Amino acid sequence: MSTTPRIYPPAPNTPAEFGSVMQHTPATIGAFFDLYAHFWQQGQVAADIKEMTRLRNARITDCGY
Amino acid sequence: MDSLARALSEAPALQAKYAAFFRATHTEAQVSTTLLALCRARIELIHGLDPQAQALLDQIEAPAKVREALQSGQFEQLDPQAQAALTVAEQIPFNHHAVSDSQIAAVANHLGDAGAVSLLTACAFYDVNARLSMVLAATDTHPG
Repeated sequence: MSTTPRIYPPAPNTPAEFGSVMQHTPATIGAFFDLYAHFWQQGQVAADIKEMTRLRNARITDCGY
Repeated sequence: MDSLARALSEAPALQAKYAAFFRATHTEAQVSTTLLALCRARIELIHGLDPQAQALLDQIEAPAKVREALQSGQFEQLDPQAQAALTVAEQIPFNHHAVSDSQIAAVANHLGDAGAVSLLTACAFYDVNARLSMVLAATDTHPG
């Protein structure tokens, strides 16, 4: 897996990370954050269960986040 | 079994936001509908969702050689843009860490940075929809 950015953010001299690179598609990332906030803040499943499954998923997929 | 949209409608607000996000991945950077459909079909075929993939290929009236390429994973007969996109898309389900710098560069060369970001995001969620569909025993992969 590469450790160097493959796509740089649209704003010059900005560190390449998820949020900054996704600014190439601002409507998409806006909709994603809207979805993500709803997922974490609403619903029947407790936050600790969601966090536990998130961590387990990250372990399985070898996600750095 | 029921449609994915019907299954997700048990959480209507979440479904609406997910559907809005999913639509945005298809419209914002203007990646061609055909190219997105090819990548989606390939990912669905990898997951064994043949009927769903064929329905999608019917919608874009994909010719036989395109269908064969997606079934076999041999993309040499397709145009360079499709080859670049599919080379990355087919690694998303089970081999995403193997996607190389040059493969991403090839996609960005064809689609631009915004197009590459849109395509990669869309492919990730084609994989999500396919997995959701299987877990929920849904009849399709359309979130609504």
